[in-house]
Amino acid sequence: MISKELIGASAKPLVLSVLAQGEDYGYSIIQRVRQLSEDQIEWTEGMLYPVLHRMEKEGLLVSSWQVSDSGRKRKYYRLSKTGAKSIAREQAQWIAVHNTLAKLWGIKPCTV
Amino acid sequence: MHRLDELIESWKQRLASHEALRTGDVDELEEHLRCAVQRYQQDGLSIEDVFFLAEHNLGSPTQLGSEFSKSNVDYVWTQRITWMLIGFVLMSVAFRMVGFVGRIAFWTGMSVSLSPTLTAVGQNVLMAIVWSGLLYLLIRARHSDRGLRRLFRQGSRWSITTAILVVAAMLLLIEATNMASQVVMSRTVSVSTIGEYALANVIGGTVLQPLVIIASLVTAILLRRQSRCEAST
Repeated sequence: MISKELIGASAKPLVLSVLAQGEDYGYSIIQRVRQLSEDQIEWTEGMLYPVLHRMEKEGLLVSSWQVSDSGRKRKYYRLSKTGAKSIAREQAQWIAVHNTLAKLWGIKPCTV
Repeated sequence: MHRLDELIESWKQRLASHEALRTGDVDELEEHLRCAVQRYQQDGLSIEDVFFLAEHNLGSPTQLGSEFSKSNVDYVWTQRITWMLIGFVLMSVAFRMVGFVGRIAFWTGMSVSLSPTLTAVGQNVLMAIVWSGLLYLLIRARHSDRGLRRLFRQGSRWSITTAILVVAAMLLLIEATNMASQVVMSRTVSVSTIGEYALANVIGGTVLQPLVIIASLVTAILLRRQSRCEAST
């Protein structure tokens, strides 16, 4: 299980990268991250929303209320232009951390 | 399905009483909760179990409130300042009303030639009755309406704090006001009458009124605690 601190720090790049594949809503973002991480990343679900709202305030995301298939109101998020641009920066940072650790541990570094 | 709506409604009320959550936030969290419920229902659990599981995974209202207060700082402070203003205005209006009743009582006492001591006692008793009446109205309003109860939970901390500050400021001013009104009185009534009235009024004004005001504030704080307890059950 991944520590709370690391989950908190990785929330932003994870959200950006999930939304890079198209607009989505909170519950679905959480499920996708859980599946992709093979249950390693388990957010306290409600905590994702303040993160989404902060990212929206920072201009990284744009949100809109839509009516879902079930007929209920649902808030969808998508990347703004700034958000799309910031993915490359996030990627470079995370790969730098990963490669530093990889060298120390003697495992194969990764390239983009 | 009806039972689920009831559970969600009561959960929404608990959530909405937190000052950091806007209506849109509650709607968004409700949609999340309903998605989770739908997902867990496929496992064949009872509605109560499904709801409990979904609510647990979403996070407690306290946890959610404290997380949202970080992203909704502007909203939280706008709310708090509004409540402080409401507390200030209500307390100032209450003070003016009580003061007005006190002045009417004084001039009535003087015009029917009651003894100054009796006038001061009557005046203070009337003022205490008005304070108690205002307090009664506050309690009644809180019990009469669910919306008001929710508002009371949200805003009472900040309005009570401001009301306490207003009381402290007013109490400091009471002596100055008393002296000023006695200067005005010295033009219309004899000095010995002022002396007797002032003595009775000082005892009443500086002991009885503050006690009633403090009792009102303590009651308001207790009501607020009660509201919090209701919210958490």
